[in-house]
Amino acid sequence: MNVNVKVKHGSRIQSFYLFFILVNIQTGTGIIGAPRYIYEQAKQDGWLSVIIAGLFVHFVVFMMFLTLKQYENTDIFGIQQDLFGKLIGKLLGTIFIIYIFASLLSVLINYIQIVQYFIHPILSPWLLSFLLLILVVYSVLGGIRVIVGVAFVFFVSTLYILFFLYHPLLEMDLHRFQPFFEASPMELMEGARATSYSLLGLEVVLFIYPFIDDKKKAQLPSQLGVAITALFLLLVTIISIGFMGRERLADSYWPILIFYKFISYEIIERFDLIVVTAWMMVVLPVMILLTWMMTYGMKRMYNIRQKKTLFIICFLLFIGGGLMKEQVMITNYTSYVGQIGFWLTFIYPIILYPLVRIKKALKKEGKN
Amino acid sequence: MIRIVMTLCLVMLSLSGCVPGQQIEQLGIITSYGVDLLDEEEGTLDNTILYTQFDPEAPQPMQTIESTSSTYLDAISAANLKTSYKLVTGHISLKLFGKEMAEKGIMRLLSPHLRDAEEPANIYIAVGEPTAKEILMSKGITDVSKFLDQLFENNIREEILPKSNFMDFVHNVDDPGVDPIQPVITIKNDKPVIDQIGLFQQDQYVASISPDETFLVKLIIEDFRAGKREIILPRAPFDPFIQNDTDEQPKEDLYLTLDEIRSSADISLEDKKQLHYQVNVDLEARLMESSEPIKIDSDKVLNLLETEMSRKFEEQYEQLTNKLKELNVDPIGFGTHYNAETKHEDLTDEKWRELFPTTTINYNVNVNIIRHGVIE
Repeated sequence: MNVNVKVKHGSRIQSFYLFFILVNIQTGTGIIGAPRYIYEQAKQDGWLSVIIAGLFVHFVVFMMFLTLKQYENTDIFGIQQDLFGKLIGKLLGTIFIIYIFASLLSVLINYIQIVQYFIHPILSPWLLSFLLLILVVYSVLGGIRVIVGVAFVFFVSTLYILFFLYHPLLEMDLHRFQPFFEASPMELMEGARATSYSLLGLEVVLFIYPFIDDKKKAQLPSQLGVAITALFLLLVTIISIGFMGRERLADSYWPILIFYKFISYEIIERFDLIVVTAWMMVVLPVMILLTWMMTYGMKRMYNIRQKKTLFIICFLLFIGGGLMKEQVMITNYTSYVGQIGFWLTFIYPIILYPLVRIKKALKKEGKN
Repeated sequence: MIRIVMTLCLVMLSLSGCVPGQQIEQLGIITSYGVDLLDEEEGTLDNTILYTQFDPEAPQPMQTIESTSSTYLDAISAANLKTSYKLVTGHISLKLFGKEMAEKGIMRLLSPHLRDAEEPANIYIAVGEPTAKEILMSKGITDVSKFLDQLFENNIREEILPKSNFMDFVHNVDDPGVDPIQPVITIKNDKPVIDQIGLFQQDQYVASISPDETFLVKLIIEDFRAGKREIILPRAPFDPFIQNDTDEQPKEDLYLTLDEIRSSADISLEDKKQLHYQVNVDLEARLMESSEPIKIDSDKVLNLLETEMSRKFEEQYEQLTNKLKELNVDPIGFGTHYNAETKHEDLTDEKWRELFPTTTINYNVNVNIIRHGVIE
């Protein structure tokens, strides 16, 4: 395995697509439940926690690009091999892939659960995971360009859901934010950490970097992408706190869907049904991107054909999606994924940069 | 190509069997649910369910069923035994609680709407006096559900009723330092009418206030956009301005109607220890009716009218506050203001019940008549 990757010109993508990729992969099922976990930690100052988390995410992306720029054209696997050698590099890469599988499974089972709660309680989870996975297989077989296209199309076609938030926004009670700044700095940090599950997915930058055509311009769209996700999260957190009230927010698993439930019009009485249905278009790009990352990783490290990994992964997901249906189990599992993801996605890339610099300095010394 | 199309057709055909369908002719769509307390000790409920169905062969589209149960969802199952239709709750628009039931607390019967994502959230909550059953079974109207639904909707739109749907109720129960107010429905001439507005302590019905008093509460908790209001002033100060008095009625009071009322109010906590509140209400309105022909030709008359009205409102507020303190209910939400101002101290409802009667509240109402019609 070479540290640097050669990518054919035909399968490269423009850097501005990174914006859609990042917004899509970050906005999965996490954002629906996040306000509650943030509120648990930071109470009515939760919005401050989201701002802190958003700034931190910007910093992480900045560090990622700084690390990647040290190399000619590489990804996380190349960097790891360069730093730690073949064996440990592969081990770390495998851990990364297992983690991505875990987070992909959490997205799938969370979405299935939401559909069961809001639309069809008796719908078989096997069927739903089968249908979703067919679409995943189809898109991933299409290659990187199709995947990026899906991310773009689905982002544009689901944006309208946001517009309807004006309704709960107008119904907010501003007293619920007072007294301001009651949370201690520790509680604010804990609140910021609680956002981690809903902001996961940044690591895609470390995977897709070799495929970007104009790498010099890649930083800006990525930063914009994470800024937009953080803004979405900020918006829903503010509405959740202002609209739901204290006890109700602390109790709700999916505060966002609860306030969509209160929206009704003459021609459509239950707006939450539309949101849950449309949310498939939010969840699918996440699943597609994560699956692609895994197949690509396996090919990079072990030279296994992408098609082969794809089918194995989807089979395992199908089993997982069908079997995991207990609410408590899903909640616990999701929070584990969030905790592991926090270290792998937000902390690990920051540690990586000084290591790369040290390694480079040592190499230079060795040459001299 | 044909093969792909065939597979697609096959998939679609087989998928459609995965979720059971519901034929609308076989459904009984519940529109209203009324509940009374049957046995206080055992907690059994006397349920009245109104439903509508689309069966062309049924004699009447609107049907009523009664059942006995201990929970809301079991009430539906018990009622299902008495009808050939499958009862569904997705379109319920009103939950009516008998007075006795409401006094015991109603949150337990609303919990499915919070817990079950399928249950609707846009429903009205009201109290039925004396019982919910009598109101839902009232003879004067064919479709009670529709009648009540429109009764609420129109009166809320006309700014006569305060916002009182499920969401407002739950928020007011949840938030410490504020209590819900919900309409009370009674029967007059065989028809349901809204007579009083019920005051709640948390989810327990305590007492009721008149629509006049409700106006005062609503003036503070919501901003009026185009309200109407009759006001009674003593006649004496206006004597010099009244001309051509022709009718023969006793002349102690002067009746005036304000309309297109626009208002804004703010509550400030002046003293956190002594719990001293200052409430400022600004009210802009048109004067459109007066029982005596007052000639409004100068600022003097208008100013006099405005100050007299302000004084009247302030008087009424004093009475209302005393009543609320005596009952120990806080529909205006002074407690939320207290909670918002105090750091590191979570207000609980019990604590606010202790504190609320000790508050002093000072009202300052500022009436501004911006128009007085096309005559002087």
